[in-house]
Amino acid sequence: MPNDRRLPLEGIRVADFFWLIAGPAGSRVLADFGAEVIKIESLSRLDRIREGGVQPPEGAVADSNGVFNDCNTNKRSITLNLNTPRGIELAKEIVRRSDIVTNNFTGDRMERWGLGYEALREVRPDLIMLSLPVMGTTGPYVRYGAYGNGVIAFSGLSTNMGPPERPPVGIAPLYSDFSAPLFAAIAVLAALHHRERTGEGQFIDLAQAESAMALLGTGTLEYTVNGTLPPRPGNRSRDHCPHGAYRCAGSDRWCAIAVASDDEWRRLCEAMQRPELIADPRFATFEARKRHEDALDAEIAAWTATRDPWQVTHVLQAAGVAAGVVEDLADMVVRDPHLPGRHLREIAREGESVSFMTHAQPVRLDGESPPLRRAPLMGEHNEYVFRELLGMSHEAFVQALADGAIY
Amino acid sequence: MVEAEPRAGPLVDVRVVDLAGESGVFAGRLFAELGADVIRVEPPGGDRVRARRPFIDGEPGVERSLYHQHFNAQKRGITLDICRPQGAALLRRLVRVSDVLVETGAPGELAALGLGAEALRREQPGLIYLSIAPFGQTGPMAGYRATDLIASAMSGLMYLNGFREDPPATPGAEQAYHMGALAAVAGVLLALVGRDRDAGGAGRHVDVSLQEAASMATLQTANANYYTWHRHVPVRHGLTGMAGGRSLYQCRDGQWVSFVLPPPFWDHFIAWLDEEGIAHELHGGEWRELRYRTQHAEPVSAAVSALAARFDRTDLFHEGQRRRLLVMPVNTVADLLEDAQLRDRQFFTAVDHPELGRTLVDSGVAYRLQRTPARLDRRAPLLGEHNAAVFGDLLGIDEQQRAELARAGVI
Repeated sequence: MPNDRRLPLEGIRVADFFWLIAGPAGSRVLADFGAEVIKIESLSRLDRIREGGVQPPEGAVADSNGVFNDCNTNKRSITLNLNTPRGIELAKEIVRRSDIVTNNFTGDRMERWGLGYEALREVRPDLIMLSLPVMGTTGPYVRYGAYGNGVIAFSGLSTNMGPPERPPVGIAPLYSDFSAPLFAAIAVLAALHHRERTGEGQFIDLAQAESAMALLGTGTLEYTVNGTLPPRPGNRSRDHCPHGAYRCAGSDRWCAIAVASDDEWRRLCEAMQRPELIADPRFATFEARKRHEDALDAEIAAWTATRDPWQVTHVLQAAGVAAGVVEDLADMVVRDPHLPGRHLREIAREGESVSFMTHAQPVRLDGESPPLRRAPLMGEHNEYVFRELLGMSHEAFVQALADGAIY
Repeated sequence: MVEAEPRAGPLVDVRVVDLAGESGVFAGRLFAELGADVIRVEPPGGDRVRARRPFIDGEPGVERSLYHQHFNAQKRGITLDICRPQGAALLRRLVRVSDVLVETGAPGELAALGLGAEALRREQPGLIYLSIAPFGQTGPMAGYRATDLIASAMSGLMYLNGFREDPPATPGAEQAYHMGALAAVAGVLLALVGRDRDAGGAGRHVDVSLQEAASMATLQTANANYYTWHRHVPVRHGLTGMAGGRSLYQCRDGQWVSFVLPPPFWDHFIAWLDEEGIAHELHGGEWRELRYRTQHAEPVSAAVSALAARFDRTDLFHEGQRRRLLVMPVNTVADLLEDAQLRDRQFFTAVDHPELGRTLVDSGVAYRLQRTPARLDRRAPLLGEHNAAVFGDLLGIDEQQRAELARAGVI
């Protein structure tokens, strides 16, 4: 297949009002695959994710938060003060030239600026507009807010995991900040397909909390059909045994092992050089292994305890058993056989010694991963967007700067 | 807005052949919700998805897996043994009238049956061939096996969860599989829009790695730059949360909330403490600085704890949000079914399953596309339910030929 094809979204433009993490990670998908994403920012409402977070050892320079630089590759940035009438006019001029508008404000922020869907479709009739607030654009909680950790807590994703005797601390990374944007990308792309076919745009309401609840698997049905809440199983499984994280040699080093069948169990015993366990009636069938799971886990842990987790992984995989290191960040950045070469990318900023580590998209099209361009500095593309795209005269551009509309 | 005709989903013109195992079965469900005709292809006896627990009333049975009911809802289903030449030939005929194929085999497994991406794209140049594999289609670990647990472990999604003295805790409900499917569906839709916009109308091979997809959450929260710049390796923190505060607080009724103080609304928090008459030492101007609070987290946590102990969870949630503080309840599914917001938005869906004599109430679809709504209104297919419709109506194989194929164990 030819690999000189253009990226699938070349020619698509996005007026992107997303900020923080959960939104920008979604418009990044569109930007990486060829869309021109114009990040609409302002000094009057700073995207706080440009600051803080993880900063280079030589100290913070402009916009050097690693998280910001990760979520905003391939985008352009303008500064536009939406609290000025001229700023709103210019925003509408950008929307007129855009296919998609995105935002993740809580409540009616866009409507109060006069930038709600009904107003914007007058400017651009086939517009696709996505709103991604925590609780959605309707309902009694429409003004409620949260970060990703609160969305996870609300969604039920914290009460179906971990050991039952512990508080339900849930998934530590801001998980929904990275699942919600994928739902957002899917919704926008599906709407784009519909527009390509029919010429019709539309409004999309996406509640981050509801999108997290779409990840509960069988949890809802288990309660509504069987009347039981999904268990907090620790690392055990109802369909696999053994199934868990086993302590290895070293400090806080673990290897996960999952066995689905009697055949895999035999191969695990052979790989551990414990063939006598195959004949042990306590472990002969799935049901028997489940009944004696503590004893089973002890046998495996005794074998892993003196071994490096990567060694355990490679030995078991060679024997056809699903096993893998419980990777910490050093594993992911340095030791993993795939991630450093296949998935992580270092992006330099011209004229600066600092370079950022970011990741590629987990999707390849015909074997190709799209090229990554560094995240934009604040307002870096003001000239391009206002002068070239909108066709403003030099005088009008300077006036808008002087009026604080471009700010 | 008045609609002249019943509204269909945005993918109403798209047909998907779904060969996925457990690791990718959610992808087809997402396509089906969005209106695609998703045809699930199972071996004649049914596949492993139907063997997954939990079962209805705990009793196993080929139609009784809630895993099957959840992940295959909204799809059609046929039986076909693609390992036999006649079965593979029928699959090729089905692909000729389809847009997308979803597979989760080991890299090279389907190619050995003559059903690899290259072969099928020669027959149907517009085909978007989706391969979901634990570590992608290339690289030294491409042949490694993984369940959700292994992909969670190797994507970093596990190491940070739970308490330091416990083993790292895997997320519930197979999140690596979910993230893989989300990335995969986004990838297919990118290829579909690219096909719409390209004169040639060619498809693509979409290659998704579960490890890479699930690592998105970790590689930004436990950002790779922590290591490359500082050699810092984040560890799991139990009850320690953002900005040095606690991740959860226990309420008067013993229930838990997540409680975050957003920087612009610090004064709202102090006013609330004062109204409640809770003694604290947080009046000084230095406490308004996030950096100072992060370094002196304990007095802040103590004040939040005192506040939480005075309220039941639901009251603390609503009162906190009214004051613009980011308070969220730690819900169970039972709590969610009673939740006022989700009821108002009619989030949960009920689908009748007459053969089982049950109504299946499940979480609904994640997004509301105003003009082309996604839907969840059809139960998962019975085993081979759509053999006649697909092999007969769609592929034009008459009843007698179908009976012969069934006798031969092909369908």
